[in-house]
Amino acid sequence: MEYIKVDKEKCGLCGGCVAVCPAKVIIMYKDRLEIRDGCLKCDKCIKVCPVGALSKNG
Amino acid sequence: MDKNYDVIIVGGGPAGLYAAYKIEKSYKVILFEKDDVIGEPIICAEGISNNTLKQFFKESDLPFIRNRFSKLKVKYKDLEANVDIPDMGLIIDRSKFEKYIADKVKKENNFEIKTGSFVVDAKVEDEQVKVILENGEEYFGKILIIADGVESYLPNKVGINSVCNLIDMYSCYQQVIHDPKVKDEEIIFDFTPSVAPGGYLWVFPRGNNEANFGLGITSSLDCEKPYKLLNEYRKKNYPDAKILREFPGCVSVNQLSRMYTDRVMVIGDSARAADPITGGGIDNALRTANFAAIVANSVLKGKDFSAKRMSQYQELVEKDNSYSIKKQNQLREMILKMSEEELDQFFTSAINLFNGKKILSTDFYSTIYSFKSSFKAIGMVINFMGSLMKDKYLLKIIMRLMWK
Ligand SMILES: Cc1cc2nc3c(=O)[nH]c(=O)nc-3n(C[C@H](O)[C@H](O)[C@H](O)COP(=O)(O)OP(=O)(O)OC[C@H]3O[C@@H](n4cnc5c(N)ncnc54)[C@H](O)[C@@H]3O)c2cc1C
Ligand code: SF4
Ligand code: SF4
Repeated sequence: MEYIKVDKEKCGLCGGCVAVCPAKVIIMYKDRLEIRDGCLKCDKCIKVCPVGALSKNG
Repeated sequence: MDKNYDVIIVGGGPAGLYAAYKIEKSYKVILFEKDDVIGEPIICAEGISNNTLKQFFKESDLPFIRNRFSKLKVKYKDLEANVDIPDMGLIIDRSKFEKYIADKVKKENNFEIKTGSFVVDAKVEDEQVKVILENGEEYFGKILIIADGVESYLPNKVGINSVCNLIDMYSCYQQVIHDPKVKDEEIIFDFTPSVAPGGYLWVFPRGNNEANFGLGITSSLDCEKPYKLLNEYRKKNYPDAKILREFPGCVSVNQLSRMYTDRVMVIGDSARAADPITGGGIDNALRTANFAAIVANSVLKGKDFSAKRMSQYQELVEKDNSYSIKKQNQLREMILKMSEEELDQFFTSAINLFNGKKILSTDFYSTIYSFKSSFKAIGMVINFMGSLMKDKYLLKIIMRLMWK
């Protein structure tokens, strides 16, 4: 299971998480986020998100 | 279809569009934008200075201006400064703004703008740069200009590290509100730490009692999420406001230490070029775009596309910076390190200055021990004001008042 989970309802596709992700595993398409393999579990994306759309799975 | 170009631009925001507009018509240029329509969606408070617009657009009739304001209010806790700033500030309709530039790019320059085109990879090769779209299509160019905004995904693909530190990021939330309490002629910045830790709250009037109402916090701080902080403030200060639209946003600062490599220039938010204090980035997007276009126009006349040749771009950016982005960033770092007492002192001085009162250099000796000299401290207050006002002339007057 992926480490980070995205709440699609909350995400406003602002790009903050993509900018801070040191592993560059978050891809922002025009209508959705995708998180690829290689996550470093640093939690920076969770921290930056203005609306709390990202959280740890499980 | 021939997929070879002189210049490939990735990103159709203000930076990418303006760069395209400024590249000579004789070249073959293509711009890729992942969204389906230029100018939509917009995540922005839409504030810009009149000076900036005049500098970058010579036309007298600009069809994207929402509102002109003439008063600036700066708040900090119970203190407030009110300054008349006639003819200095504007709120634009950013969607129309981007469409306006895109129109020029297409009609005047005859360049291609391909929307709905997500660039997923880029590679610098010996004789060219290659970009790859989501659907697998490949395009080739002599020069690549990366303008992919705050998300800044592509620079890392060509060996420029643009990963943003949490401390260099503002996490923001904005609501477009309608409230009779919103004054169309007044723009408000509130730097009260409990309102927006490590950032500020803004009320930018759009006209007809509407405002872009939002706040940004420094992302590394432990505090409530921006949307919660904003809703708390709104309930207290604009309880009857109607919310027309709302969205999260992020602004990255601390300009890249290297904004180029072989055949590549990185501009606008992708280069973290926004003003470190205000997070305003439209003007530096245009500024960096303009320099990238100047360099592209000249580099394309020869055969040298080396990093050394492209470095001229960064030289131009660093030489120009009217308000020295590096100094602004140092100031931001210092403000972030200040204790509450030091913040009180700093903002009291700034607000006094804004209100036209003299401040004495000795004001700084008492509490701001972290500054090496009072001279430096005053320089910082002035830099702070420069960020908010973007008007050299007014700053000069204030400085003269101060030294009396
Ligand atoms: C809440 C908020 C309020 C703001 N308020 C102000 C303000 O009042 N005044 C001000 O001056 N600045 C403000 N800013 C900052 C301003 O919005 C940015 O500095 C400005 O948008 C930077 O322009 P840009 O062209 O560099 O990037 P962007 O405007 O982000 O444009 C980048 C474009 O590239 C596209 N793109 C990204 N990746 C790809 C890809 N791989 N392939 C194809 N296309 C791609 C994106 O879809 C986007 O259209 C604000 C920012 C926020 C978040
Ligand atoms: S936890 Fe860290 S590495 Fe993993 S997706 Fe988030 S920012 Fe990227
Ligand atoms: S930071 Fe939050 S709102 Fe912004 S794109 Fe990432 S998940 Fe979505």
